[in-house]
Amino acid sequence: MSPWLRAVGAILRKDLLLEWRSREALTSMAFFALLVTVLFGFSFDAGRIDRDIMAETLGPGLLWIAFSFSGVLGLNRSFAIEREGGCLQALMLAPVNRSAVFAGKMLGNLLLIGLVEVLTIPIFSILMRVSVLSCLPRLALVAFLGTLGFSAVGTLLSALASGSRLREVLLPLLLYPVWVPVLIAATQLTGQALGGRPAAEGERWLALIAAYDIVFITAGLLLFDHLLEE
Amino acid sequence: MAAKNRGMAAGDGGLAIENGGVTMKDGGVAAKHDRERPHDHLAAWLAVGRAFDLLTVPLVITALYFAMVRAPEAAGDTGGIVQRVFYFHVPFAMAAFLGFGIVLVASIGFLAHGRRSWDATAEAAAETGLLCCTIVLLTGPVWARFAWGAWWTWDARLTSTLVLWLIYAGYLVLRAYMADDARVRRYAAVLGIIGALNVPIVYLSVRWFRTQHPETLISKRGGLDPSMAVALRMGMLAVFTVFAALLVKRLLLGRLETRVAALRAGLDARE
Repeated sequence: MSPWLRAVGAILRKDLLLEWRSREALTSMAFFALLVTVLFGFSFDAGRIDRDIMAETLGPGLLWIAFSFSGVLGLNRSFAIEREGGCLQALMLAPVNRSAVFAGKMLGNLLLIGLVEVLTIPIFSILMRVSVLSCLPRLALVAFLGTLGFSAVGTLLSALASGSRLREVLLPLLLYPVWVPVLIAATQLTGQALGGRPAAEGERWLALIAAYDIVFITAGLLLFDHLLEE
Repeated sequence: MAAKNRGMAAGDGGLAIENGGVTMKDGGVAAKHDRERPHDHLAAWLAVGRAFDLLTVPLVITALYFAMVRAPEAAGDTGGIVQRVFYFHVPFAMAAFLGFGIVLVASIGFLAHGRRSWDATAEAAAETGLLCCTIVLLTGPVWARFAWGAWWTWDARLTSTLVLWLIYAGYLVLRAYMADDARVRRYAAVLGIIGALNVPIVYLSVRWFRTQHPETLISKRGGLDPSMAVALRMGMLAVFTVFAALLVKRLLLGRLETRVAALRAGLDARE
């Protein structure tokens, strides 16, 4: 294994171990996603909404809003914990390429947010009365590609926001406008999957998310170095 | 104080600056050999700014004349008299794009060379571009209200302009809430690049988003009357000059800020 990959693995392992021992981020994010779902149910009177509309329009929107909102909690924590005990300085002193730090943090965030999604989808399915079992592979693909893009641009912007005075407040302000194209694509694809429409309809949306992922993972690997100089 | 201000405005350096520190001679005002000290070319910048100011007035008046008087009134279903906002709306949209383009180039330039002037250019262009973008978002609905019967539609062009506005508003929020130091300049440069990378993806996504809903109204801008085209060109000339004038002003302001900060640091050091 190349030293770069080893460094990525070490950072990822550190983040997962830290999370496994405290489970702080996972608990708060999953609970927050549940709250968003419940509030949505009340505020849109979900019990009286037509099932097709719920599956094709409202449901996908709710799901991705819940992912986006709870995801920001995790991203904010990702660099807050590094800044707390001066860990960031230690990371910067580490004799590895900075892009490895980015890749490790990004994969950690991807796994964390992905796990929250795995917990949220069944709750969503039950509360909103939308069947997800029949389209699970398609849903998983959309969730994976969408969350990959979210983690890439989110990790980069989280490093940036954590260095400012506003911290937690700044990240969503910077992230959500940049996140718009994938939000559109992911809700469209999720709607097509939940509504049982043919998969071919969504091919260009998948291509769009894939292009976004490639662009922002590359940007993250190249630009992260500039965010870690103090 | 007045003398000091005049000294700075005239750009002949009432206070001497050396490596960010300050030496005050004869009460700090107009020491003779201080004249050649500052290297920020304030006088030149000020002259350029004045020239642009003088240029904008006749150009804007001419553009207004062409837009309001010379251009024929548009058909009622394209907004009637309200359509005349078009001659400024479209040029401001172009100017906004130009401004955001400058942000991208200057951000890359800053990360590559680290020169302070790249960063100042990016900041000035972001502010000026966002102002133009705001004008686009304000003038558009005024026209849409009459032509389409609604202030806003989720049309591709409208939506992507809104997202663009949000991206660069976030950029300025970042700059506003961080102390002006080396770090914020790098952060802003990174954000300037990310924002620009996103623009084509945003544009593609909202276009596909909307083409799935064919009921969306799409403006028909083909086939401009010749005198309308002239009015549009005059509007472009005027708006681009205004854009350049604002950009120069903002850059000049940045240089003044730098000098004031250096003076203040020098005074603090003296006390």
